[in-house]
Amino acid sequence: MTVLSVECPRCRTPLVESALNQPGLEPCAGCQSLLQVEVFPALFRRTAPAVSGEIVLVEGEAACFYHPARKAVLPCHGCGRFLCALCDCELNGEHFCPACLESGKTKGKIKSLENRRTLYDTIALSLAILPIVLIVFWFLTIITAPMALFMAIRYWNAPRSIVHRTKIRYVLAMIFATLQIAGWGIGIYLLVTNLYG
Amino acid sequence: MADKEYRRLTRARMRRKGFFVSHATRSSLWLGKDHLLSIDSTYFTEEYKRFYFRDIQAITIRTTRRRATWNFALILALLFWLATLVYDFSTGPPPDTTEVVLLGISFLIIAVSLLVNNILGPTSTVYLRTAVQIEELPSLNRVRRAHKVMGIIRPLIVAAQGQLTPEEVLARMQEMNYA
Repeated sequence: MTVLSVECPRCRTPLVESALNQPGLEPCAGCQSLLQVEVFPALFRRTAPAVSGEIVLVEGEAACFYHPARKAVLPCHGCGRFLCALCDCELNGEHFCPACLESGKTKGKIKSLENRRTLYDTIALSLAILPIVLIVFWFLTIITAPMALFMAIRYWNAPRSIVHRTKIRYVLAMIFATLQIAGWGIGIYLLVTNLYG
Repeated sequence: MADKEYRRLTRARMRRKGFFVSHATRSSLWLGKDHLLSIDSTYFTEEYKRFYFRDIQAITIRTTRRRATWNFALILALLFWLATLVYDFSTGPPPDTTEVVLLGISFLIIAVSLLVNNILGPTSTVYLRTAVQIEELPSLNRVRRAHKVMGIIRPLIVAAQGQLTPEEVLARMQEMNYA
């Protein structure tokens, strides 16, 4: 039998039940660290046993797309294929098949499955600003400014941070990059005109 | 204006990896409709972890000695500054304006850091437990801030799961462990 306990995060000593859900900080019996532990009913929730899906007994009964021998219990919310209890993956009240879940995660179609994003707006702004801030690398702007402009245009519609974020970084990157490119253009023009005439 | 999907609970703070602080990874906490969102930002990428209110089993706040350690280091710096001041004024010609300005700035930096470190209150580490993980929340690095955030999320967890009094916790633990 597995003993249910809440441990001290520092010394792993199981905390006494009377120390849980107390209004103030209580010392751990093992390391004397002051702890405040709040537990919720989910701690006591028993895990439901895994289901394997019922076997199709009657000829012509709806069967699972992935397991033809298993009885279908519901359709996939993404593709509409019939699924057995084994293939049913529930996510926020919707039911998906493993394939839809996988494609939803990789293509970012199911937002709540997304666990990583690249911040192209930050990359564009850094390319536009960093060589100027690090004064000694100003000459790199001849490469980084067009790169920043490209990034800002190419990824203008790409998803930004999952928490609200405006397009201000893209706009600033474009302004700084354009100014730098214009500066290089004027500089080269003046150099050429001074050299040849 | 459309409602924002997430509300900021804490600003991004550095995530510790063992003894060392990882300056590259900064962690922040956001409040969603039915979950907490922890964002780990590493330069140009963000990694997300969602903790649904219905799945949170326990939240542990543990006080740490980080504030005392910082106080010790800052007081040492202040003593060093004082020694420099005494040395400068007691030996040789009186210090010029630049030297006085530099000393003043360094004093301000140390004193303000010391003051802020104590105003913010005791330091803490907060852990969130679900059925499959125990996750540290580095952005809740002060007890006062952790209590403030707990005050916001507790009603939401209670709305999703219900509430347990200390007596109920005791009874349920005993029921599960001695059944």
